[in-house]
Amino acid sequence: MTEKLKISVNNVTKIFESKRQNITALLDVSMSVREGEFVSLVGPSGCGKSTVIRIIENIIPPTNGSVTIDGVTYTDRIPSDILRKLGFVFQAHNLLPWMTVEQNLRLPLKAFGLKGDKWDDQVEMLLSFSKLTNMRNVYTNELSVGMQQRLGVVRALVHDPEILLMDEPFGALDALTRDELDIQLLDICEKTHKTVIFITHSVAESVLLSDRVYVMKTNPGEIIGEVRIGLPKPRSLDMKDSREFAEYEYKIIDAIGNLELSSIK
Amino acid sequence: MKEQRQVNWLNFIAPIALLVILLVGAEWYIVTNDIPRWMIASPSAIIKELISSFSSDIFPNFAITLGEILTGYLIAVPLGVLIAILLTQFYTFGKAFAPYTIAVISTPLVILVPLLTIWLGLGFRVKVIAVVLQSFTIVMMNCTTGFNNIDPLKMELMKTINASRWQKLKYVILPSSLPNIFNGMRMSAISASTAAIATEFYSSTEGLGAMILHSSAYLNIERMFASIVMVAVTGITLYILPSIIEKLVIRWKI
Repeated sequence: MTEKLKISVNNVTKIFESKRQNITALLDVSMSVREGEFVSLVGPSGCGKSTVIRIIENIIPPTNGSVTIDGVTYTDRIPSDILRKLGFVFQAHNLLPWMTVEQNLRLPLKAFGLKGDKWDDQVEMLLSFSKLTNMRNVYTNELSVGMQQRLGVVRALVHDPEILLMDEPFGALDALTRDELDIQLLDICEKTHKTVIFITHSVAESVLLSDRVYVMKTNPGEIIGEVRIGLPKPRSLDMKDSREFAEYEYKIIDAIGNLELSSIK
Repeated sequence: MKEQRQVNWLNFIAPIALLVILLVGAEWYIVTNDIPRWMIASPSAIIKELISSFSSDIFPNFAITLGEILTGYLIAVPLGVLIAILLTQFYTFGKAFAPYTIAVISTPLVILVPLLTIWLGLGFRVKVIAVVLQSFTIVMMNCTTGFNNIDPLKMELMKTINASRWQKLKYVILPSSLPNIFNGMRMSAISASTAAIATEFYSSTEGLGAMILHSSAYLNIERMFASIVMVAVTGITLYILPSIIEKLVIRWKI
């Protein structure tokens, strides 16, 4: 039985060329994600996780290989209608400081040309969801880090993309806020059936959130393993205390072969 | 809070106190040492001249020079921004012009004044052109620096939302470069004044530069100093103006 592939990364190699040396960020990396799946990428710093999702988002082109989304394959240039289906969350919120919360949130709508009541309602809903309704006219540099990051996440959701690409979105937050946002994220994804590729340093976070975890190594960046997380959905924070959870964590850490990543929280 | 209030008060009072001390000191020195009238004017004489000739000579000439500077400046600033946008947005265009922009910026364009006068004659127009030539290059250079140093992460954001060239300019490039634009405005304000006065020196019967030259020819030192004071006033005003506008426009924390 072949299930429809939502995203497939096809033998992607990325070499960054500089005068001094060439860096092979990714070597022959292939991944596949089915519709509605939540997939995490874990691995040490510099293993190319950010590079992979930037190639999927077409921020940078692959040196070799291609990406296929919903049957459409691209390398250098992503078709606009496919780009519209992607929502990207940056590691460091990446908000525009010269605009208010609401202006930042509406920016993708402006760029994609989405107007009307439906989208205004979407904006209101996301403002309230991220608890930023009262801060809508505040300039984003005046928000706390947690608020900025929440805004970064809802901005990626405002144009209702089918696919979310998230680059360590909660890395800068404290453990409690991170747990809270993890569960909120799972909630949204369940309700809206989104396909997610999530990058994280935290093995525990990846086990909590994902259906599958790809494990990567560095120098050159390659996929060295894949762990299927069989925990039942919907997930909850108390699952973190279960033996099954710990076993999955150890499986992943084992695959990395490096205990420095065991940020068991 | 009380400390801050005291400091702000001091910011205001201290320079004024210094000025008063200097003027009084200069006055005393000039009078007691009987410095000749043709060499330097005492502060009291300068002030007397400023007041007596204000409406008849000083203000009209001041208005003319200010008009030349402002007209040229208000043309130069948008022109500089526009050309900087073109140079940075259209890669080959920018590369082609790169060495020439350096030449234009580093040449004091007042050397073109004699040529400009041959082409455009005496009068308002030639002064305005000289101001524009001298000022727009500086605005353009500052803008180019700003436009070429945009945070790459923000451009990545633009890519993710499929922003067009003009959306990138409107949402990221221009707002991000506002500090550079205002800096260019401040810097070019200085050369705007110089260009106008220098052109007047060369060929004019009206304006502050002309007044300085004519009063020096007649050894009317008081009037000469009075003109110099007015030039300084013009320069200061023009320099402060962008900073005031900047405070109104940039309401966010950078």
